[in-house]
Amino acid sequence: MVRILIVDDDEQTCKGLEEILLGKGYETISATSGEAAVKKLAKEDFDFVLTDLVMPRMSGMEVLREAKRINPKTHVIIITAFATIESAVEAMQQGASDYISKPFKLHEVQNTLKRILEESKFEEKLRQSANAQKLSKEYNLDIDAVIKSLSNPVRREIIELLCEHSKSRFTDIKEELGIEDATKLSFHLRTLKNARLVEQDSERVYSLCATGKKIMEVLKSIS
Amino acid sequence: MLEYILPTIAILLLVVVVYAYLDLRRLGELDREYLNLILDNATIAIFSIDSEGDIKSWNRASERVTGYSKEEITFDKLKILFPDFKIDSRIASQETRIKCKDGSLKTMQYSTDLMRDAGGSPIGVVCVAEDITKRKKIEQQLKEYSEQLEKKVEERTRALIRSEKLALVGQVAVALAHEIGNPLTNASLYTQLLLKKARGEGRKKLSIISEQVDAATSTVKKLLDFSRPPEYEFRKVDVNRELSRTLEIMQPQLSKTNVKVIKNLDSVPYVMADHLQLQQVFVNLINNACHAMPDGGRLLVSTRVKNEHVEIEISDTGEGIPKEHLGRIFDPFFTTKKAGKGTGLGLSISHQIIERHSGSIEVKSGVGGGSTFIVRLPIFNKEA
Repeated sequence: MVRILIVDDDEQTCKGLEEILLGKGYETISATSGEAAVKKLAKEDFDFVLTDLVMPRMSGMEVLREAKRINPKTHVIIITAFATIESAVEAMQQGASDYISKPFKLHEVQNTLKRILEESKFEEKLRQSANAQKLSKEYNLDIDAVIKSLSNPVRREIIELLCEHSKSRFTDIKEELGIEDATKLSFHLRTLKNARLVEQDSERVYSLCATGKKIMEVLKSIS
Repeated sequence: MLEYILPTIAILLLVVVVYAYLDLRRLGELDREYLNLILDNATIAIFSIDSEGDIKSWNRASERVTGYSKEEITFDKLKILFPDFKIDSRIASQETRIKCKDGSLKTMQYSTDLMRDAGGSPIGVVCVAEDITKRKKIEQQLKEYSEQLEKKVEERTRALIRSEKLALVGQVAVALAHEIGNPLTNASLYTQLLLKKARGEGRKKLSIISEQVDAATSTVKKLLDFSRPPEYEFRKVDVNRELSRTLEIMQPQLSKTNVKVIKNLDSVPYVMADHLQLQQVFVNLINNACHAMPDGGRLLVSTRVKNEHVEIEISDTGEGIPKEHLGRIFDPFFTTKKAGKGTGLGLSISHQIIERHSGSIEVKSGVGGGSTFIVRLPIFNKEA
């Protein structure tokens, strides 16, 4: 069963989320402070940590760092009021799997959890793929960065779109993929650029790098 | 001796008298000549009429201003030029428009005074008239410039106030989202928990609560979107294409509200724009037009080129906007819709977007006369 640690200084939010996720088949435990959360992380394994970002004394960012230090495979999802979206994106760069902005609807949490689980499975498949290993050696790529880039379905869709259209602008990608959150799209594109799968020219138009095109073949082979 | 001297003296005296008389006459003529010189070189029209209505004097300026020479001018023509003119009374300074001989119109400031003989009896009138056409034109221009300046100052003040309001709204939105985020999240979570177990009437009511919480959540998110400037991506955009696309997307709503769309799109050059932001503006304007025509109507969408700009005009045949609201229509949270029917942010956001595009947006409206929104965007200049 998937185990989730819910961390929020608002007890009502903790209880509400706990009860809802329990009903959806998840095992949930909550902590109302960063310190309490770290203590639990040290004793037990969790598949997910759902943590508020702004908390007194120990913030969600510190909980993220500790969770990753204790168990790098734990997926951390940041919950944030929209006002601190920049710090949420920074959290993702530090290893958080995603962020959800408050106030949120329940299906957003459920969909995020499901998606991250699927991403994990995909990551595993990709890691085991011989083609991926070969490509990463051939092009001297950071295999973890590549796998991380490709495990997310939105990033895979971006690669497929760029393969189809060869060149695309930010707004076209946003429109074609129906992505409302521009900040998240920006983050995904940056992740792909960092993994050297996508590049951007002087007119800010995106396209696949040579490695990106080869990666498409790998994706097709494992799908 | 005497019979020779006396006649000589008499002759001499006669000569002196004659010469004196001639001198006096000459002096009189000189005076008259000098007077005529003064009158003819005067820059203002000076003329006189006797009690019989005969034009006794008509200086060169009178001829220059009216176009009528001394030989041509008559009392009747004078009355046409100066309808209030009277030969038996004075007129203090008065303005009038005259139609000159060549048909041109001039503005004159004139006054008349009675001429009296030595006994004090009136023998006619003298009139002094100045062509103030140029002065009036300059005064009018100054008045217009002053009005324009006032209008610009008013607009700039409104823009400043709006900008301050926007900044304040941004701060309030951020604080609100932070403070309201948690309670709204909890309200949503617990409503959903209750919904799982509720049945019948209780479930119905909880569904309503859940919808209202969702609506509040959307409003908070809209407020935050409003306070965070979106990331713009500018490129060459075909305005007609974006308009057509927007109309296509909104077709179901337009059909539902029985609004007939009339397109009048001229061939217009590209503009430099973020096409999604532009579409948002068009959606806002068309939405407002539909709301203004709850029982249906006509929506006229047109484009043209004017003064190096592409002009997009969206007009409706709806209820119109009262004059006293027009100055505030782009202010954040200003709405003429009923409570719950609009946040009052749509036009404010549209205004922000168009300003960001170095364009302008204005509205012309009157109660019962529909509304017309005009968006102006600079033409894309490749060489710039």
